[in-house]
Amino acid sequence: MSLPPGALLYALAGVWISVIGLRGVLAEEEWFRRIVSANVMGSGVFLLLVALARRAPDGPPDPVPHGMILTGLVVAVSATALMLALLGFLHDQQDGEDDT
Amino acid sequence: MIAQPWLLSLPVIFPLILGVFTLLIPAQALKAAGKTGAVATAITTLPPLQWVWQAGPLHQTLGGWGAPLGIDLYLDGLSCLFLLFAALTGVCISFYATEYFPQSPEGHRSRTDLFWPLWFVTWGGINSLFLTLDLFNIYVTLELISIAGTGLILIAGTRGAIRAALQYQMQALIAGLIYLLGVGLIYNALGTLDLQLIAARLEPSPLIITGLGLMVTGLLIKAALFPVHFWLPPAHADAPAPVSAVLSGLVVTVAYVIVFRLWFAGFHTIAPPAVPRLMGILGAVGIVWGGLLALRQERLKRILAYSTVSQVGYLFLVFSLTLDRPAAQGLVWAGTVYMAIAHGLAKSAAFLAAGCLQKTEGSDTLTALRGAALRQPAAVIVLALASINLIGLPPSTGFIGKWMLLKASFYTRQWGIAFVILGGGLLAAAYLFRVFEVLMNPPAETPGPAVRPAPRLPLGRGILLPAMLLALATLIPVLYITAPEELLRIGAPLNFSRFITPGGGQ
Amino acid sequence: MLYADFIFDLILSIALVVLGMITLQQKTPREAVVQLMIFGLLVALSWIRIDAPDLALTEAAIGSGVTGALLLAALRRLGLQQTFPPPAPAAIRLPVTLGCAALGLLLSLILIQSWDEPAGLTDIVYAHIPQSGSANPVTAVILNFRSFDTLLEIGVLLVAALSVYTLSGPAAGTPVRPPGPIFILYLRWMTPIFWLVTLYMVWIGGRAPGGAFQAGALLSGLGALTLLGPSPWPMRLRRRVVRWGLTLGFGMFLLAAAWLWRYGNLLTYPQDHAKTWILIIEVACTLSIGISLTVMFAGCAGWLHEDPEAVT
Repeated sequence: MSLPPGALLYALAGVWISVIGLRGVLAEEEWFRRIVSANVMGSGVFLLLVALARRAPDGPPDPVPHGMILTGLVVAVSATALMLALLGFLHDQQDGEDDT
Repeated sequence: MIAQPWLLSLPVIFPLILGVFTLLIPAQALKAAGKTGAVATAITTLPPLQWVWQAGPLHQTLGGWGAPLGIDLYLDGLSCLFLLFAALTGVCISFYATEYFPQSPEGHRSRTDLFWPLWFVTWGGINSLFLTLDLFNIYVTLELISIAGTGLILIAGTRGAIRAALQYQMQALIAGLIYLLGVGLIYNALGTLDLQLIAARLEPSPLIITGLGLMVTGLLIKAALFPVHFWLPPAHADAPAPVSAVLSGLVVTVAYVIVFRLWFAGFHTIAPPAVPRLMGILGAVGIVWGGLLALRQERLKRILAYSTVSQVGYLFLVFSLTLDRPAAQGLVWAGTVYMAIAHGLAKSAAFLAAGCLQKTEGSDTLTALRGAALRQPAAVIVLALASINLIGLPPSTGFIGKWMLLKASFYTRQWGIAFVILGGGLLAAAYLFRVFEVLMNPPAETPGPAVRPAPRLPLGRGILLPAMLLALATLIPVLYITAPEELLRIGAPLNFSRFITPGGGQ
Repeated sequence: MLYADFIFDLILSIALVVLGMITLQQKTPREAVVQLMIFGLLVALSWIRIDAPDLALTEAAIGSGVTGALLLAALRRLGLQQTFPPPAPAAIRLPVTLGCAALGLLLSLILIQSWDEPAGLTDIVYAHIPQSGSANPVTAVILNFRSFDTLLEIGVLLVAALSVYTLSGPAAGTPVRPPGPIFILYLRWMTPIFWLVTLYMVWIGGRAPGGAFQAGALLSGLGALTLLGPSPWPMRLRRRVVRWGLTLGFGMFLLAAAWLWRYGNLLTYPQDHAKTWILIIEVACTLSIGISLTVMFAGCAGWLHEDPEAVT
């Protein structure tokens, strides 16, 4: 039996990382932790896509998924920043208000 | 002048340019720019439309590369109808917003001025989603309108709105990632992102079916199908009224239209039959669940938001109804498209009217609105016209849609669905009549110091005209005689055999 | 040799999963962020292993660096609770965990089963590179073949930065404590170097790993350092100036799209000048990305002016 290719290992790692992140978002209640979880999930999805781009054993990797991930990274960081700013705004307004 | 294919990108690019423009001009010019821009954007959708009407589906390769290397836009009867719908709704919401948001003082730009750039970018994104054939492009555009949606919610500035915006953004991000995961799998199975090529290459392999499942799951979250609707009510209820109209009338619809398109582009041929059944069941449960919760709300905008959860449910019946009898497909498609458009128009109108009531009465709680029909008859009339659609009474577009779906459920002998369609109408009647009961009856003479919680604000002149127009549009016979159905048949959901790719395609 | 490669990949991929898990098990938010940053760097390392150096650079800069900085800035503002509140009840966690595990298992099985049938666009992309105006295939994809995606993506960044910029909290103020002398010296020396490397990144992106996103992230690093430095001049900029800066990339991209319409199609570059067009768009985008990320940093830290109605 030949060794499984490295890219497959990373693809599987990507699957499990995204699943772990997804679980964090769904099962946690604290917002900061959910945001960190969403970022872990994002990394997992991107890792899976990069690994899939390297499926062909020879030749260069597929540049189209690479472009997709470059875009995805920017979307993820934008959403993260926006959520953190919203969270901070809520925190700053907390004084004297009911937190429900 | 005969329309050229490149005109197809105008409804996408033009609002985006307007977004930048309204960001940079002084706040004093915003209202004029908003009105002119909205009308101009609506006009940009007309030439491609004329083309489709005369010559059939229109196809454009962005950057001149063509699929699979580049990104293609495609306009058929279905996207025509929705482009028109977005244009009408967009113009009305824009005119309403110019009166709804206060004018910033000289030389200043207030938070609400952010509405214009974000709204125009959203409009461009929505138009793009009706046209694009590229799975990854759908992802980027969905994220664009989600983030813009978050920004639009947060301009309300209240604590509730900020919380709702946070929730909204989180669901959008996660739904987007799930969708992207699916896109990755599909791309790796079929080697292309172009829907047209994918439709030609589909086969029932586990990789493809899983990819499809993930994509559809992500989109269902964005379309707020029960039970993944939890984010919708706070976001749609706490946003400023024009934003609620955008989100409930347009953004939810666009997410749904993508599911519809993907599904009937070919996914329905490979999916296990349990999947459309499940979507139909979830839709049916959503109709009831949303209706029941709408009955229990104490705020008008929350009632309308839960009503959206309920109305979205109808749109998902199509997957179950087309399962057994392909012959009924045309009927179900038409019915569903009517339902989607009727709901979009009526719900936008209802939110706009609710915004007026909220402003004049100081709050949108039912207690504050008691007897408002006497003080604000115009707003209540708009709400009533919209309700005719939401309940599905003749002669509204909502009635036509519901009638078609009902007929199809009889054809296919899905009695449960028929029952839910009828029951859903009764539920809608119940939660809306509860509102009207309050609106029509003046408060009993209360002896105590009946101080209003918040000051009433004067309304801008003519603010209700656009809302009235939207509500009336659902009642105009033109909307439900044959023209839309004929239009719908042009290139009926992605019948790609009708056109030839100009370059690059295979 | 092949065997050694395999061992390395195996260890790294297991380490990634474990580290991801550890990140979400941390007791305090600060530890979670630090773990996340380390995790990001390891992800970048794995991407070098699977021949994606462009992405490794971006992940290190944006995924680990910028995201980490944003989280740390927000953490400071949120007041550093010592530990996370107790987790959700097991009744919620257990079904979610089981569902996620099932999804992971399903995806793993499918991947293993279908691994040997690669499909993709590698050949088509490489065949068109000579016409694309960029020798770097990734740049050719994102700025030519699929430039519409990138246009919208720059729009995402603009919209997010604008929203953050509008959302100024009441606890605004000047950044942190006064910087120490070593930091001031460091900043003085690093500023020109940051600019040089940024420009180089944009330039080299046409041929080798690099490009607007990496360069923009680098620029925002300089932006964040400047905000922490002795003279945080970007804080004193008029809001109108900042808005123009944020818009530059998206605006230029749209202008280019509209201008190129003369050639009959949206975003079709004239073939001989594709390189120039790409470079112009990239420079504008780099500046905007840098400014946007800097604004996001200031926004997450809560440093933006309180009054959104401040003088424009």
